Amino acid sequence: MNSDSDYLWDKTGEPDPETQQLEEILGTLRYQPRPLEIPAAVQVGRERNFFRGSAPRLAIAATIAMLLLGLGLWLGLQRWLRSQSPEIVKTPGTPAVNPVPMLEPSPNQDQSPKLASDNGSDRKRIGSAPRHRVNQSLLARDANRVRHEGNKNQQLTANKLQEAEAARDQLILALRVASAKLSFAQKKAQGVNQRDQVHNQHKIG
Amino acid sequence: MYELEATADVLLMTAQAKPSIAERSVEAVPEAALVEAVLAGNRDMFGRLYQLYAPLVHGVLLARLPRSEVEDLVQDIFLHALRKLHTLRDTRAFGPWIAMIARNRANDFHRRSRETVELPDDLCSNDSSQIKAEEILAIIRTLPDAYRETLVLRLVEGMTGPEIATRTGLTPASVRVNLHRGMKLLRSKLGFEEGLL
Repeated sequence: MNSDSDYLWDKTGEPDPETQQLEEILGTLRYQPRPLEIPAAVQVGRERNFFRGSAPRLAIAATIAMLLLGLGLWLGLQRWLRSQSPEIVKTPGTPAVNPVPMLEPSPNQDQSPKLASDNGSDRKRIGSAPRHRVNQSLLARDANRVRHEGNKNQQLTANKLQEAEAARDQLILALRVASAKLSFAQKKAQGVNQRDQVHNQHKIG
Repeated sequence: MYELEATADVLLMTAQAKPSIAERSVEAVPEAALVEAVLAGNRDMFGRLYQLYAPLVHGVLLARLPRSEVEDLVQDIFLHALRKLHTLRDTRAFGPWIAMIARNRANDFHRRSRETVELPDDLCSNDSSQIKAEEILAIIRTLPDAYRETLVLRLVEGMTGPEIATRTGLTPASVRVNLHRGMKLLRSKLGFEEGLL
C-alpha cells in the first residue's frame, strides 16, 4: 500500500495529485445542503403490526397450549378408561368380556352380588374357571378395589384392551397432526417475517 | 529490506483500519437513537438524520441519474423514508436502508423514463469546470455499479472510505477494493479521453 492508497482510502498520507484534481473538479457537484420541508400531512409513528412482531411467540404459545390440552385429554381418557373397567366386566351383551354370567345367569348372583361374596357355598363352587372370574370381579368391585387392582386388569378382555389401544393411538395421531400443523404455522409465520425483512430492505416508493 | 517495508505497510493498514471500526460503532449509536426518537414522535430529529444522510443519498443518486433530477429526489426519498420509518426493523441500519431506497428509486426513474435523450444539466453554462465535472461524472457512470457509487461518494461527496463503509453498510474491505479498482478503471478511461485532466 502506497501513500496514494492511503489518501484514496481515508485522506491520510501523501495526496496523489491526480486524485486531488479529480476531487477539486467533481467537488463542484457536491451536495448543497437544503432544508427538508416536511409537509404537515406526513405522519410519523409506530404502526407496527402486533401479529407481525409477535407471530413466532404466539405460535410457540399455541403449540404449548395444544400440547397441554392434548396431554389433559389423554390423561382424562386414561382415567375414564380406568373408571369404566369394572362396568365393562358386567356390561351385558359383550361376549368377549365375560360371557359366562350372561349365558348361565345364577339367581343368587344376579339379584344380589353381595350375596356372592357372603355365600360360602358359592365360593366353593368357583373352582371352575368361568365362575371364578365372575365372582372375582364382583368381589373386586364391592370389597376393595385397591387390593384387587391386579385382578381387575386381568378382567379386561383383549377386545376392550384393543379398543383402548386404538383410542390411544387415535389420540396420539391427533396430537401429532395438531403438532405438525402448529409447526407448519410457525414456519409460515417465520417465513412471513423473513419475507417482510427482505421486503423492507428493498422497499421503494 | 523489502519484507520489512511490506510488513510496515501491512501494520500501517491494520492500524488505520481499527479506528474505522471504532468510529463505526460510535456513530451507530446516535443514529439508532435518532431513529427511535423520530419513531417516538419527535419529527425534529428527522432533520438531524437528513443532515447526516443527505450526502449519501445525493451521491447514490448522482451515480445513476442526471444531476437535475437528483436534488428533488433527495427530498422525496427522505419524505418517503419518514413515512415508512416504522417498517425499519434494525434502527442501526438507517444508512443502508435509505441507500437501498435511493437505488431503487433511481432504478424506477430509469424504468419510467423511456428512451429519453439526456441533455447536459448546464446547457447554457459557460463554467468550464462545471462542464468538465459533468463529463468526468458521465465517465464514472459507465463504470460498474459498485465502483461508480463508491467513487462518487469519495470524489464528489468527499467522504472517506471508513465513512462510506459506515453509511452504506458495506464492509471496509469491500469499499477499499471498490475504491481502488474503480479508480484504476477511471484512470484508464480518462487516459483515453483527451484533455479532460
